[in-house]
Amino acid sequence: MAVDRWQGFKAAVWLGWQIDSNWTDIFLFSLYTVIKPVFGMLTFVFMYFAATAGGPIDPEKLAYILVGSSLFNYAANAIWNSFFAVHDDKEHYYTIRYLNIAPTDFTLYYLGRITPSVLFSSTVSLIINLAIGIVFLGLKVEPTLQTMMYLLISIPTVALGFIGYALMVVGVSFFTTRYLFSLVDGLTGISFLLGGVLYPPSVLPPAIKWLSQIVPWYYWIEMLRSPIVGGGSGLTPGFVLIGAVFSAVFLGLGVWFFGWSINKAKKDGTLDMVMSW
Amino acid sequence: MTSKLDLIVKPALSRAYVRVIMGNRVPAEVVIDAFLPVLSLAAYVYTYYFLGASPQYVGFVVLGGAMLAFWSNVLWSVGSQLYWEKEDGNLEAFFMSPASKMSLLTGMAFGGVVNTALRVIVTIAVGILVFGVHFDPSQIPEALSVFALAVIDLYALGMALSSAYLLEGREAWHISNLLTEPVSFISGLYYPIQFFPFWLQALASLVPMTLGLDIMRRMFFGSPTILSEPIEVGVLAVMAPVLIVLAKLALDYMERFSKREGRLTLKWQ
Repeated sequence: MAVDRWQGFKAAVWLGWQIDSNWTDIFLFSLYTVIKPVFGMLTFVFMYFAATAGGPIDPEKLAYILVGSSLFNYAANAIWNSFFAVHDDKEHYYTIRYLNIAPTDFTLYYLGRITPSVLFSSTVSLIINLAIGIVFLGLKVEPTLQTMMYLLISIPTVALGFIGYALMVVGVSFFTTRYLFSLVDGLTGISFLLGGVLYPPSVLPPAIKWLSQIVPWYYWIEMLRSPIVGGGSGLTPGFVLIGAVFSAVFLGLGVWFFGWSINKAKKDGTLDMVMSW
Repeated sequence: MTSKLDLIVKPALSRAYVRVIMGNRVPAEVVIDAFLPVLSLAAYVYTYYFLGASPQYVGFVVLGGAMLAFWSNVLWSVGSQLYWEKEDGNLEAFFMSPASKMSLLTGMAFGGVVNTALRVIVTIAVGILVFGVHFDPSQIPEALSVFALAVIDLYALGMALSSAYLLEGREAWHISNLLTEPVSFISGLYYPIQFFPFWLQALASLVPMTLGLDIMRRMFFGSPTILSEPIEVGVLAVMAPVLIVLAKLALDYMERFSKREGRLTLKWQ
């Protein structure tokens, strides 16, 4: 019934919030939420300052790095929190078997469980990073009708793609604990290297440059960065279309793989298997 | 009859043995763990290419990547280890046994150094073979001594941090998580910190890898140091014994305190 599904989602959101935040008071939690991503971004910004010390500042390169690193951090955090929710339920709190017999939907439960971290922790830190960039680092954000329209299209498109991506990673975590962290680190590392996060793919050697074209993060990050900095390939319809195709494919694959994973894990008896990694 | 020395040496060796075997028993995992950091390392190198930085910055990234491997190991496999032991139910056994807790931590640190060293070799090899970083061979013995000193200091710092986990659960976990980015930033893992204000340089110098990297950057790439080299080496040499004594005091205090609070073996805090 629809009402029960909604109640399950709401309970999962509440639970996610409690697990994220109730280990301390709200002040320390807020500080923690802000400090980590801000310093992550500042490391890249100071790499820029170190490399160009004494030389003129190139605002385009600085904006590219600042916004790219902040967006990457946002996405990587969301992916990490997604699979860690299953890891927590399975390995730390041993609650996954009770979720299995509860009258709730697994997909909705995990979407609810990660909503607080994505909406609060990651979004707030992204906004703060951009604000620091604007106030202290000379980042220029000058929205126009065109960039706003692209941003309005890109945000839901990219979000759906990342939800699909996260569901695939979460699906894997029903089978394995030992290799999960390496898998997530590997996928994130490849996306960081090839996804045009801190530099355009043209910087890469010719032998691997073409790989960027098949890494979805490249499209998703550029689709969000271009409207913010006011330039870039993310402001062309063809590029956005490719990004949207990636999103549709990943969302479809993610929803399918997540359901398939749960069924397979139940059949194989690995759903609630504690592996004590 | 078990001598006092046995209670110090054997637990350390046993704990190191467990760590080394556990970290290397699956060859595929060793390979994956060794090559995963190379992805980030390469991204940092290409960032410097993008920025048109001088070639020595690629060397900075390789040195920083090597040190980061040890720092991550210190945070997650020494500093936080008592948290995992608590969650897995081993902590009770550790505290019931007559073994020295400091020797258990030393064993964890030693095993961690061995495991991480294997991975760091890959990082440096990729730096040399793929990115063409040149390390002056005449500087290698001295640089290795400084590197070893900094690593010993880092592990001593990890042992000092570990006592926090006797009392705290998720809070200490979050603090470990929190320490990663700010420490990477202020310690100048990928850039020299000469352009930081003095107070920030002084703060950064409390993290052993800051001074270790500063000296090695001077040795290999002629980068200026924030203090004179003998002073930096002296500070690194003093840090290890100070941190080890601090670790012992903190461990004893936190053990008593957490027992009194009834939280020594309390899971899922």
